[in-house]
Amino acid sequence: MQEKQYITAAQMGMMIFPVMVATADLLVPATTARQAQQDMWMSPMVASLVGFLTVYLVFQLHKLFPDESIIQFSGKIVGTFLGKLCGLLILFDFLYCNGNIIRQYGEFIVGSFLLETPVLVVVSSIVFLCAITVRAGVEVLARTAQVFVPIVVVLYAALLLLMIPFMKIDNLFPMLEHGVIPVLRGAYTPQGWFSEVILFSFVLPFSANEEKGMRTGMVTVGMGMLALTSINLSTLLVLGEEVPYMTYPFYSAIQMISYADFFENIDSIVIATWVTGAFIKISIFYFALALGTAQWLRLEDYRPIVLPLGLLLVVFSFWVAPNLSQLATNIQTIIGIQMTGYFTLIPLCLWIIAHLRKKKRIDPPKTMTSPPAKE
Amino acid sequence: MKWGAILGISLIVGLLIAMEWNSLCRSSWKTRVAYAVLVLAGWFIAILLVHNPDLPGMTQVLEVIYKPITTFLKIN
Repeated sequence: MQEKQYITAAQMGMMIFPVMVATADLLVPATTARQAQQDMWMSPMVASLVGFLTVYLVFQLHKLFPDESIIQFSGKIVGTFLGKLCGLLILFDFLYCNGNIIRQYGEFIVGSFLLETPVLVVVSSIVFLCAITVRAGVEVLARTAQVFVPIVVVLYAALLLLMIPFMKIDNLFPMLEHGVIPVLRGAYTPQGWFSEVILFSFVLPFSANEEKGMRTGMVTVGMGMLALTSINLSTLLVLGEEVPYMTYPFYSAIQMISYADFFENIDSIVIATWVTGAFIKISIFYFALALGTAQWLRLEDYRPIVLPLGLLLVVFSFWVAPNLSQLATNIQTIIGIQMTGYFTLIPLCLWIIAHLRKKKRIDPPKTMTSPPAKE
Repeated sequence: MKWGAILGISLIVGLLIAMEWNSLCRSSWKTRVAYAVLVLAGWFIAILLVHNPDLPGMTQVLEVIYKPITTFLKIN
């Protein structure tokens, strides 16, 4: 690839943070609440273990094969054919997941704000915007994230503070009424959102200071866990037992904010900030998809194939589910587990095979250093 | 109405090709083939979806694959 662009470790963290948080606050709190009821706020903590594992694997693999993404080095670990197969599965899942994300975005915007607009218009416009960003390169993407993510975080934190007077602490109890099993079942869906940190593998080759990378990855997952926990906790405290029956619980909880009868209807601000987060998330998935496809086919540049991939993304966003209720069912049942299956299990297998192969060698090359103990 | 949608999709595909025409002329045959395959795939699936919005796809495949896990964990 002819990319000579560089990003810093902090920018990398800011790019990946909205990937975990941006769409996990729409449909996911309701699906978590259906499994875990009043213990839903513990589920993101359990789910984040998958995220920490994925970050560890991605960075260990990156140490073995610096300057390459998972699409490129998978062929060197398991051979050309299986490597191409791994790459194809991951790329296809990027396409499928991004279709889901874009559809969620479109349904949310149409369902809550632009009531008369067709979903196709909302979806096409965001994909076109993301296509322009992706064509501009990873550096532009990183700087976009650097500008927008702090604003998103600050505004969300302000919203959480504004929600405090409407919280009822009674909604938390009885804690762990049915043991820890409901909490684990509640983590079934959000774990997929933490698996998405595999996208680090695509931005790491552009990182300027790599020794900081691992720490940045862990901190990012930790921040994502904190954000999701606080979102779930505040939703639960404000809405209580109604959470499982809502489509967008966090959004509904924000609509409850009302001070002195004039400071209300702040959901427009919420949508504005949320759209920026979703924009970064869609762009990074799109970037990984375009770059990965170009690496998979050994093209010299990924820019020419950005627009046709955008067309495919729009098509997939309609293909994943015929309507919103089907989309919500999909997210509850298969989306989480399939993301973990592709984005965590494939790197895990690659890492194990790379280690077995390393042990057999008599004199391991310098890049193959022994990993530290697991976290 | 359906013919209008198909015409619109074809128009968008034509626009996509026109937008990239200059860079495609300069790039290698690999890029051109990849571009053509991706555009045609998008165009084809889009037309199928216009005819039948409930077209079964990846979602149904994944449902079958993960059915044992979802039934075991009683997610529903």
